[in-house]
Amino acid sequence: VKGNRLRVCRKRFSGPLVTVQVVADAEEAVAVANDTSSGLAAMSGVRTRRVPSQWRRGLRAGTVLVTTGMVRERGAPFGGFGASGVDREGGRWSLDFYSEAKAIVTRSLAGASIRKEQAA
Amino acid sequence: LQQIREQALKKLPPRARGLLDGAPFGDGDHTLALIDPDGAEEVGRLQENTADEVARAVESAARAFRVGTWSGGRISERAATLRRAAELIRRDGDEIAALDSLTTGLLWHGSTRRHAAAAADWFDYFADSIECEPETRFDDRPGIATRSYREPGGGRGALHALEHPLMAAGLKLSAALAMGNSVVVKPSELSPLGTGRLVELLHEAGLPVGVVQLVNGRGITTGAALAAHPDVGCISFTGGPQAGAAIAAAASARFAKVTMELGGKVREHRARRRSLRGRAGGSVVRAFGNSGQACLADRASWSRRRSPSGSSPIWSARTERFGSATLRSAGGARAAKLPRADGAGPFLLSRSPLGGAEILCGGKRAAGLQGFQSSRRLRW
Repeated sequence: VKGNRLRVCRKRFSGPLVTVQVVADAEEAVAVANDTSSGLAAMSGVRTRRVPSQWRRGLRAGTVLVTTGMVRERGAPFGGFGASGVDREGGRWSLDFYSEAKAIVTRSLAGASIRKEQAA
Repeated sequence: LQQIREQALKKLPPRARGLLDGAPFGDGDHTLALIDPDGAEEVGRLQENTADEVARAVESAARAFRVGTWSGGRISERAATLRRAAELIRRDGDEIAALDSLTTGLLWHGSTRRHAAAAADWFDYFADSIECEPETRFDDRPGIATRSYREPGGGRGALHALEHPLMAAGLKLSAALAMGNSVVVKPSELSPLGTGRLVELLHEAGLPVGVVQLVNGRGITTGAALAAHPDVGCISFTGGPQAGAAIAAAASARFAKVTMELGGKVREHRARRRSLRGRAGGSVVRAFGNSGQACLADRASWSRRRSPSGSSPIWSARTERFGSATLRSAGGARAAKLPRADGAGPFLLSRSPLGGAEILCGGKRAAGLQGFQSSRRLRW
């Protein structure tokens, strides 16, 4: 199949189903991968030494897996772009979510005396 | 000061319009009055952008994001552009501040000039931030490296309201642009002029065309169209809770991220004896500074002392004096307040029940002043 026009390429199935789409190069692969409302994870099975920069920067997915299956570090952010979700969980992202940030602003006594000296 | 004001007025186009790819646009039927609260006179008209025009602006911003000149460009170049923007905002700070003063009723001296400076500082701050932004590595498992970093969220909407238009716009624009986003900004329809100039300066600073777009109009029309557009991935809003709830509802349908600063009602607790007398000045400045239009303005003051006897004359006197001082420093009567739907601001408390409080001073339309100005009212 070329592109994402077919419904089978767009609809989410809960079951063992894989579509194979033919692309000319990495750029087209990224375009096809991003041509969707969701973006939880993307995988690249290309065996190269270096991670192609297109994978790194171009893919709109919360987790980009390069020559590996799903691995989840507890400290790493997990979640999706677009319709795959809002915000992230794991590590400090979880701590951010389950807390309210607060700023305590205190005028120090030392600061007050410095200002007095400056004024005098 | 009068000169700066007149220059700003002279430069004002007969009809202020939004900016699509850096060029003025908007041909809808609806225009809105831009009112100088000082004298309640109309200083210009604002062209409201229709939902179709908002969609064009958002789509152009999204296109710029996909093309990637800005979103995929080098971080050092992005930082350099933001720093140039900061310089330009400082260069034109007095003019931007005057434009903002025209319709907010905020003092040029002490309010909008400081807001313009703050806007410039935000651009410098986030230019520095992105250059220091670390990538996080997790190397817990042998042979597998996990790295995480921040990536731009996509076409982003920014809506902000009356109180500190320049500061809000500076903060939202600088942070969103620093992360490589495209931004569509909609300032308050009551005070859009300073932000409009800010967007022009961003183009002058060398921001690629399409990355920042300006739309104008009311919240229920232009704002709603922006909040509901599917290409807007994040919305940053400063304003009132009602509008905030409407925006959150619109965004939730497509899981867009929202951040909101919805103001507050700051209480001040004075515990020390005699503190009422001694610190009345500070309270008065906090309550009425920025013409009372501040999310962090004191709206209520608590004291352990039961009776205001002895201190209320001081409060009254300082309030009156501060009021007249701000009037004088503005070179005319500029301490004013727009009547707003939410009735915010300390000068127009008529909508809130007094509940037996004693009025220390003010609360009436001040004699000899024009426009929407009223004298300051202080409740006990």
